[in-house]
Amino acid sequence: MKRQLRIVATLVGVAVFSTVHASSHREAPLISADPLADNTDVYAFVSPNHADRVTLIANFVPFESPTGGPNFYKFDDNVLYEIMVDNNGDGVEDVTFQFRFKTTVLDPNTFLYNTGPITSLSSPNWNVRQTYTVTRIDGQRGNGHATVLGQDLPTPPVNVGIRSTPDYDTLADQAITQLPNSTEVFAGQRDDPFFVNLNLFDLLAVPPADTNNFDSLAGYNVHSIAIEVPIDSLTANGSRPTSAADPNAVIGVWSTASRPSVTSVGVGQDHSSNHYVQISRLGNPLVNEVVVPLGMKDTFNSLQPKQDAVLLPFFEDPEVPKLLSALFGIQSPPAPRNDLVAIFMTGIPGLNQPPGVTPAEELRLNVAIGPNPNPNPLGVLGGDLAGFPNGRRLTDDVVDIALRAMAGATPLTPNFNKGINAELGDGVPANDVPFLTTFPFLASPHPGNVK
Amino acid sequence: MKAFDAKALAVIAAAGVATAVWASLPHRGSTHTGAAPIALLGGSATASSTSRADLDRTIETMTGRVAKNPADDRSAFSLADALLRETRVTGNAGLAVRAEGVLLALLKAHPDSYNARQMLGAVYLSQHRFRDAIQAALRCQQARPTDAWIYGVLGDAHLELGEYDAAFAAFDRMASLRPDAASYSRASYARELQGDLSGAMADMRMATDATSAQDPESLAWHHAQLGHLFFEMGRLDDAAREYAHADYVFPGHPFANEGLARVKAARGDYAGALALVNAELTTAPTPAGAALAGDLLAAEGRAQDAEREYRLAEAAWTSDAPDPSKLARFLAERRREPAQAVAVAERASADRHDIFTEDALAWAYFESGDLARAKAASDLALRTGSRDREIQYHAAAIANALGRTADARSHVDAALSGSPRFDLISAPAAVALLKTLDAQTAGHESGAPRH
Repeated sequence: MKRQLRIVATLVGVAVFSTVHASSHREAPLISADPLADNTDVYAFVSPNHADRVTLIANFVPFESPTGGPNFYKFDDNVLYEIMVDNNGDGVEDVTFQFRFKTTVLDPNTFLYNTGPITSLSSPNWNVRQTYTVTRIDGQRGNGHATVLGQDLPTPPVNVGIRSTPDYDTLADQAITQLPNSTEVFAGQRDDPFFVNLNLFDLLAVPPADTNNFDSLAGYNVHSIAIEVPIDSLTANGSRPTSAADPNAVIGVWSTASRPSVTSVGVGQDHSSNHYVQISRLGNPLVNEVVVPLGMKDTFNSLQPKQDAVLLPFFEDPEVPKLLSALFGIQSPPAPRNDLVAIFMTGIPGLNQPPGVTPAEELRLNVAIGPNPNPNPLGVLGGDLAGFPNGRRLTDDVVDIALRAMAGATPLTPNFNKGINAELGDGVPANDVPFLTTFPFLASPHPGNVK
Repeated sequence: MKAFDAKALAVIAAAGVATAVWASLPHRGSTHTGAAPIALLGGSATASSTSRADLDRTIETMTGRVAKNPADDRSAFSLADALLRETRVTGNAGLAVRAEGVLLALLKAHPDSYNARQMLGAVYLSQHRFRDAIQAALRCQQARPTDAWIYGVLGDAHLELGEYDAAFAAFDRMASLRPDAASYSRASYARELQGDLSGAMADMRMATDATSAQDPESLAWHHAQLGHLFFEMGRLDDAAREYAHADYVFPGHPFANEGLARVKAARGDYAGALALVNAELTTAPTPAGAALAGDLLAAEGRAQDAEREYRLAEAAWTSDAPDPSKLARFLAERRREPAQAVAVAERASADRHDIFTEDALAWAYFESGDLARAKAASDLALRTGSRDREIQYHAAAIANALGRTADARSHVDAALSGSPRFDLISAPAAVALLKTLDAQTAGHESGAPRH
């Protein structure tokens, strides 16, 4: 009987072989996406609870589905995650915060993420954990002065679900680290704070053309790095400016993810090189998505801000206004769009443009403008100077602001700051979940399982 | 009338812009040049994973879209990518042929489609059409010389052809442009081929770490490669754990099954190994699987059953999935018609000079009694410094037959070092050869005349 079964199986095998051409080549995957080194958003704002501090947030790993098991999201131990601050407008970093992660597997004999409920950061049930080191570099990264701010700091587990991580907020709280010099730091999974109606990109299927509005990123998580530091530790002259006109008041912020290169030859030598390659880079929202053309994106991701002059033509004569005209007959200011260059590249004169600025794609924040207790999601366009494009808060509706800016509906081009141009938007005014009122302000990640 | 036409054209042009913008958004921050096989697929704003179910869904959705519009660049790219992944996890190379058809139809509509030509290179690799892959990559290189993907295709193709200097140079260019899972895994294989197993392991760990939870198909592939490297090192427990991990993240992955079967065989558990191989042969039949089943049956003394599997493997490698290099090694190692093995191996080595083809040729000559040619081919098989245990055993046997006992001993030691049961055919033969060499040494040392 056994023998008969084998023959049947063999015959099936023959049939399959003869029709499918089995492949046996080694075939390593060629993948064009690298989510673990993919910067999604950067935020910079004067802290609402400490007007003498700035909060910097950089998010990575887009589209984390909470039900991602059995494989869970993480930072990559080999990626160098960085947040840069340019405090004199020359397009070169003056202060850098570097984050390096280290994964520890408690019991290497299992590849389970956890073997029981995780009720604290020291729970023996938590098998795969990440810690990190924060280093501050003063000066340029290549030759600046490095200070380790914190070592082996904890991250919380990902929000697996109600059985594995029953009291998630407590775990997340335990992973907020207070460092000397009024500094707080956090790294770990959070709700994706970006809110956008992706129908926007379906030929602007947004109001008034379409009323099917929803936050396309609702329910997704990201991995966040957040650090809150005293303003006077970032400014060029080491003091906290009291006047918005202070030449030291504007800082430019961006973040990057870089990976070490490797070599194929040189057997016996150290396998990985010290040569880091910048994989992604982000300052202002939506620039890479709607301004930089497809063929330029690799170049953009590899550029340093001081090299950004090559981007100027794309701001001076962008595609989106042409689309607005073709689809809806909406007229925007003619090229060259110096208004957009100001918003995205140099800062706006009198608000957040440093003296003698080098055009560079940085998120520029005037730190002398205090936090607004009642923030307007339209930021500067809504008369609230503490919001985008003066820095960026979590609640700022950057999609509406950017769309209106593209149509010229800003004080920089008053002739277009009216009518439909000033009403454009994607119909999604806020995030799907509320933000926290204290550091790290980002909302808790969505759990993988709620039952 | 003329004005009306112009407006219609403008709308069409704008639609093109919108599509490009839309395609780029899902990546948010980093949006690489090229396309996004695992980011947003189609109109839903969700990141599709590469789990088995999601791959099936992607193939179904994208097949529908491409059927409606063969010129749909993004859908065709996604479909071809999913079909290649499915090729890897089913061993069904007919899917790669289908992917080629999709891409050629797209190129007919859009001869300049970069995405199509980029993916075509990967499809040709899957079909072992290495020269065609090189041509496709070189055409891409003219358009975007800094696209890392191109150098992955070039390197893979040169490597399979045995053009190692060109392959390693391409891999190094790839890793310097864009270090990521794809370039780390290629550097790893380059190091393995040069005998640097610990360097290969370090690079493959980096590649595994760089693979996101969204991509379980790649994650499983990488864990299976770690399993393979541990197996090569003779660390069977570690190998088993990595293969099990591959199976955990992508249940039923054929590389995981076959790897676990080889571990069981190396531990002497032939029945357990056979059960795994048989299960796999019913779902993802490959000639290598059939050959392994034959070896296991032979080891259990079931010569007739073994012969049936051997015939299957031979037929598949001859006509269904022609691979003269693997067929020649198979024929020579199992002493099936040495003359035929020589003919097949010579045919293979007319096209390519990789170390495995040279090894097959060496062993075929050895079995047919042509020691001079066997030695010449074996030297070529050893030229990269590979520690491949079969190459080492074959070199040992050839050296022994030529009376070069010192060479024979060092090669047989390399073959058996730390893994006395690395293969069902070659390992026992290597053990026997070592005994012979030991006996000779003992004979010499005793000094007694042996008459």
